[in-house]
Amino acid sequence: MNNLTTVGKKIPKRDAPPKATGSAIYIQDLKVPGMLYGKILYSKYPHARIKGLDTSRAEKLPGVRAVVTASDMPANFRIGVMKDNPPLKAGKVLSIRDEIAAVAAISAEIAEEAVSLIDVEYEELPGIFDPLEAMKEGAPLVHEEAKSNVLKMPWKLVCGDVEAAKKESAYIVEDTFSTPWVTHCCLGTSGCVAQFDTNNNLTMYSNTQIPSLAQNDYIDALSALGLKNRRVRVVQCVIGGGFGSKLDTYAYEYIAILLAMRTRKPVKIIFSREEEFFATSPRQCTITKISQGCDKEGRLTFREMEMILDNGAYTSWGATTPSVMMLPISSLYKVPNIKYIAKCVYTNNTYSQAMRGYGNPQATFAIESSLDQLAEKAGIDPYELRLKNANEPGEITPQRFKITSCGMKECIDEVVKRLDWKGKKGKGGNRGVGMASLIHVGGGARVYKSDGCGTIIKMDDFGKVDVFTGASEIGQGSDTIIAQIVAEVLGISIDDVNVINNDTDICPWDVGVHASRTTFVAGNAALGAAKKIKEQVLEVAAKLLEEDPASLDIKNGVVFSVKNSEKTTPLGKALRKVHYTLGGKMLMAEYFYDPANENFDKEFKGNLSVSYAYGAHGVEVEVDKETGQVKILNYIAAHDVGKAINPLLLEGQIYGGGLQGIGYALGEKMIYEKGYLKNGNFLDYKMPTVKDVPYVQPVIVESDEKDGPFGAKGIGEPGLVPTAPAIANAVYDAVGVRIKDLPITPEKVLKALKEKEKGA
Amino acid sequence: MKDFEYFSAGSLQEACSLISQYKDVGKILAGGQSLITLLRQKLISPTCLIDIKGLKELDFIEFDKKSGLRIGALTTHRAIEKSPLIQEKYNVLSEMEKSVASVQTRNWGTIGGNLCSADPIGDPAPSLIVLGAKIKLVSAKGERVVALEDFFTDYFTTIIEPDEILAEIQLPPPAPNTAVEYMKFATIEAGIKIVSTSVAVTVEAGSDVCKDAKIVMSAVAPVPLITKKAAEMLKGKKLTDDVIEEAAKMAASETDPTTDVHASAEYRKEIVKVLVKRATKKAFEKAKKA
Repeated sequence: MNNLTTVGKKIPKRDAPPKATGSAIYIQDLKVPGMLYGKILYSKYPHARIKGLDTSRAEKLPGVRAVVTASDMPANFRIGVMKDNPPLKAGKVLSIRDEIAAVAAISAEIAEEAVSLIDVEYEELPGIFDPLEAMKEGAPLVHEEAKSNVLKMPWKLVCGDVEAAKKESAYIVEDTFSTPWVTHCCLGTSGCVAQFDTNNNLTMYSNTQIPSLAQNDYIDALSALGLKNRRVRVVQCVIGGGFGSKLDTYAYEYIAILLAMRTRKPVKIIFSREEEFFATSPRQCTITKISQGCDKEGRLTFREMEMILDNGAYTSWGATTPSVMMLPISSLYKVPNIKYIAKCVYTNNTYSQAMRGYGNPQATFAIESSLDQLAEKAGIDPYELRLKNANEPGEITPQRFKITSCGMKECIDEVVKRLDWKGKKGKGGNRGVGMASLIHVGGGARVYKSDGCGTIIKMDDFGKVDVFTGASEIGQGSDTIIAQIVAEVLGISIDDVNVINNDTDICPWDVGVHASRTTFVAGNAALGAAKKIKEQVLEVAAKLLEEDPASLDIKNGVVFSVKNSEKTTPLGKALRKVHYTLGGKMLMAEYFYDPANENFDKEFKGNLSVSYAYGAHGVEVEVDKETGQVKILNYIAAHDVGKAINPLLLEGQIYGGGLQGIGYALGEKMIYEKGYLKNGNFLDYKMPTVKDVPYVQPVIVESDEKDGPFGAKGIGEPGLVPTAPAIANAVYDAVGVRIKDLPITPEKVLKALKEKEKGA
Repeated sequence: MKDFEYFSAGSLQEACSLISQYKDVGKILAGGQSLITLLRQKLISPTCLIDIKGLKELDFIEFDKKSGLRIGALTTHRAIEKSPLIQEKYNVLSEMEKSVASVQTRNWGTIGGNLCSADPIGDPAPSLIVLGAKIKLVSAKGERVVALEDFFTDYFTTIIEPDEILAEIQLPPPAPNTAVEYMKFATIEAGIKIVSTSVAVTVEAGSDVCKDAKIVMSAVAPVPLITKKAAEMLKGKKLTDDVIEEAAKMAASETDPTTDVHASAEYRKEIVKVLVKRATKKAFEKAKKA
């Protein structure tokens, strides 16, 4: 692998110049001829009965082309994984983001004014906003037709015998941890343009991160709307960040479709920043009870966790995050006995969705905080406890994950070395160090029946290549990575590889951007397609050069014989020859890669991913004991990535993840009070800014994954998984207080310090 | 944002005439850093905006040994931050400006606009008040000069008449043996601050006895709050750690902050104590050397 020309090189992101110069076309920029502007009326109350709805004033406003309400939607049409969410609500509203009506008008201003002219008469109802209250016997039901507020998704994982292990444990700790709602903060807000042609086929311009699955959702919607067997084309604009927020389809998209159907005009709906805060779905908040034990030598004996998740009023994919939480719960470190139960509970709050890490950060916060408590109780250095129990290659975990490559120990060692752990741990002076590790899927994840991605590749007369991939570029760098892989295989310059990724009419099928799968799955698909077309090229060139194809290779765009250095031909020449010869052929190849991973069985066991990503973060903090302010002095993020296809982009993923994790750890929280969002703007929502962020030092550990493209594993999500517990552990080391409820605000730290003082 | 009529004033005189004509429905647009946000959030809906941004006659920083400093209302935050004159003679203002929002905002936002928007968390007011600032208000009918500490009356409210324009800020020459220190606390650096304070300490020449002190807080009351009792506790005393600590406690007891999404009232009071203590100590040390 030392002879690589493109893979492994620090190649700048291809989409950076258009984004930096403003020439990239985001959904916000898109204008389609004749386009109308849609706007949604949301509920005024988190729980209320709609007693009257009068749209007549809005309809009369000049410039308004359509006003729609629930009565315009098919009565039984529901969206979401549990089909519990009508895109337009009638009868009752269950949260402040409930859509009641929508308008299409000739300008955004008129649409907004029209929405304000819709008269709704509400009868406010008492709501239920605390999942613990909602679980109680006799609690008012959020969905009246359901028998309970607890979602019918019984998450339960049992491996070994936890009760027996407890009896044999020398040390046991037990505690409760909680995490808040946080939001993705995409710079590009949600939006779409729905457009019908004269045959009622739909084109949806969108910034979805699941084009193929969204296409399927829209087809279902068209059927419900009476348009059966219509074509749907999804065209993605440049996507201004996803982080999981665009992993589902939402009411606004179906409302745009309905408005476009009504008006026979393209209709655009773009969320304002305010809507992006309150009307999109955040990371789910959790309450986690955890107990862990170890023997006298510090070997982990069991891990038991019970979790309650606030599901909000409706169900998106977020309700399935407990399945991914099982990953660290069962397999972060070697733990023979596992028990995990999670309940998602309906409330009148906002409903949650996928967000980078998909539950893993919430679970890892509890696990890694608790692990430090256990280390203290057992009198073992937290680093040694981690190292002693670290995962290893060849291991099969209790949930039946087959661990292939695993650089966990190397990551822990890097953190310890670079942080000067031994010199700094427990040294006082209001300074402290902390660490936490992570496991995540790194070789796709079979959460659907398929985990596949298709790729088509073609070569033109000049030796240039077009790659049609199912993968979506959402800023993570997939276009650059795919181009690198194809260029490497074909022995051409990356500049000669064009990646087309944004149109379901052209691009092959893919599950979507999730589970850190793009480099691994789409990368392997591109690799397969590139190898296939290379064979064709060499066959063609072999005829031209009168040489055995097996003796040929390509370098710098020139086909050459490894046996006879005089036998060469530029790639373009070989290709033109086949195109311009009677009975010629066109060079094109396709490849569908679906990793050999497994769906979970009924007990939630199985090898979810063909490989797993590991990492460890270490942090040194200083705590101001008078204000409670936590300052990060040093941050090390070591990641086992298999192989760095592009170290520059990889470091970008690690910075980005780390900083998002620091926001999660120290400041970000969506403050909901009785169903209302109190801080839905960037002034009140504490996302770190450039002034706040420390230098996150990325450390790349390469473990060469046998199934990965050139040895690579996924890295999209891991960067933020262990951040919060690493910081919480460092705060504890610095001043002896443990914050168990994220975020670790100065106010909480100060309060804990004062309580500690009183107790002492 | 609702539609409005837009005027670009060519002179201060023209601006005064326009605002006297449109005083009931108009607003003055200076840097726009607060106003545009309020318009977008529909918290205000004026039907007329009078843009004074381009008026050179209100964009100046001038110093005279006897009369002191004059800052034109349209001077940007960035210009104050970067002014060598201010750095030399009123360095606290330059230091304070560095912490105002972001560079982009400082490039557009003006000192006059900031004061007139009267946000109780505004950065400049506390330091200007401890420095003894006065402001000149002009209208078609004439002009008046008032002390800045008398300017603010409530959240986002001042004594300015609907036909008046803030033209300049006046500061007396720097007092001898005096130092001013500004400190702020926010959970994230560029975020909304929880508390800020500006403390001025004057020492007897050649001694470490505090001759005079002034402490002004922001974000703890509807207007910049002068904690007089705390300042009194410093006067005539050697500023030992104990004296400062007691004064800081007094400052906290003089405030009556509210609980909001950023912090609880109790926490704000704690931070008042810490900031007043730290700022007073630092100002005192500097004043001794001044």
